[in-house]
Amino acid sequence: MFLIGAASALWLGILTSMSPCPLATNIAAISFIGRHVVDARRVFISGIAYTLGRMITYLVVGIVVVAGALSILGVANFLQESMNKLLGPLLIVVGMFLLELFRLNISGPVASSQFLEKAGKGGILGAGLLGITFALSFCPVSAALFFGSLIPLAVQHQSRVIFPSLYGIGTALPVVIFAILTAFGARFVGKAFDSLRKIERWARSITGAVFILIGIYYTLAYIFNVL
Amino acid sequence: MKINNILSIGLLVFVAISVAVMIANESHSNQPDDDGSNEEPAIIETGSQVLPTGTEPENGTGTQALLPDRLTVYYFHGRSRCGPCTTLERYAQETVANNFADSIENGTIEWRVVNVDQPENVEFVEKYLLYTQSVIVSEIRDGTEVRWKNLDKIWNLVNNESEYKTYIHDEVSAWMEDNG
Repeated sequence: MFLIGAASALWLGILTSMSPCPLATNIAAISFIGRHVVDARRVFISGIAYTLGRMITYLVVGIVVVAGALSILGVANFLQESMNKLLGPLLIVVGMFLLELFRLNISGPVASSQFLEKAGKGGILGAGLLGITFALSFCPVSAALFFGSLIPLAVQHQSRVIFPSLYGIGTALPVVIFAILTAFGARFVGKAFDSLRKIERWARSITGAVFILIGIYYTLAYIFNVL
Repeated sequence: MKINNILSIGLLVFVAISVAVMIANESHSNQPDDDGSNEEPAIIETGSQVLPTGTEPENGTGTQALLPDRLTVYYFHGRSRCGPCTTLERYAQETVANNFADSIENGTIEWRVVNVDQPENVEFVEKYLLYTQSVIVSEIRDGTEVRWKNLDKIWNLVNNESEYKTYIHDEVSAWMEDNG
């Protein structure tokens, strides 16, 4: 019985991820995780960090609402309302970093180049933070499946830790698989044309552009209410 | 390099304006209104019972005289309408309209679409414990609500039109039978 419940929790996560509503953030996550075309290990680790970020978020939100510390109603509506508003400007700024548009705006050429070196080569912590941010940005589908289906399931099976964690893994799974496939596809093309480094630079630029476009979309939709 | 500069400045200005608008909207929504619009919602007569003005149908069956004993099938949504959300509304609306046409005609069933992001409808969020777009069936006796139910399986059935419509149909039918 517990196993069936656990499988349902995982499936609810996959269902959430595959619904059209978080499509934009999933595309951003796929491009972010999969952009390290040269370093396959980094793609895997970023994928794990992204999954952990989502897992921890749902775990914490789940514990908070199941314990009754905050009402489901308040948390669900606050996250849907506020996080999606913050997401737009945040994605634009991260996209600008990825495109290195901030190079000229940071004082001190040495400091800026070191910072960008770190930001570009790192990204594992970034993937984790991205997982947390995107998981907190509930949309109507994820709110319905998490607060309406997963939480009652977790309460029913008295599983405050495992079920929300499995749900988090489920929401990350399709994204990580697609990211790995994208990275390997790009790597294959890069090797075939003997221009792996060039492909990686492109991947990074595409990721930056994707972040900025999705950020503009979120800003227009949730702050200016025009979409 | 020049293009990069223009792009950077353009994006930063856009971000700055967005954040300013966000803060302005937030502080505006938190401010108590001086013009009295923050008072208890006004009520209007609909048939023989009273409803808050916010329940005026955006896309409902509200032209007929409603009976004091009836079922109201609500579809609640917010400002942002995702693809599945509009599908949920359409399927529910079609089910009610196609299967309960007579009841709608004689005022024993009412279909209402309510945007809970409009200030006058905020009370529904607390009343029906809404955390996402929802279909609520509400039974009204002598103009007063006596019970309600959130048809919360809609989200699991949104990808299966026939099962979704059967679910709505069966729930509404069961409530109609209970209602006598």
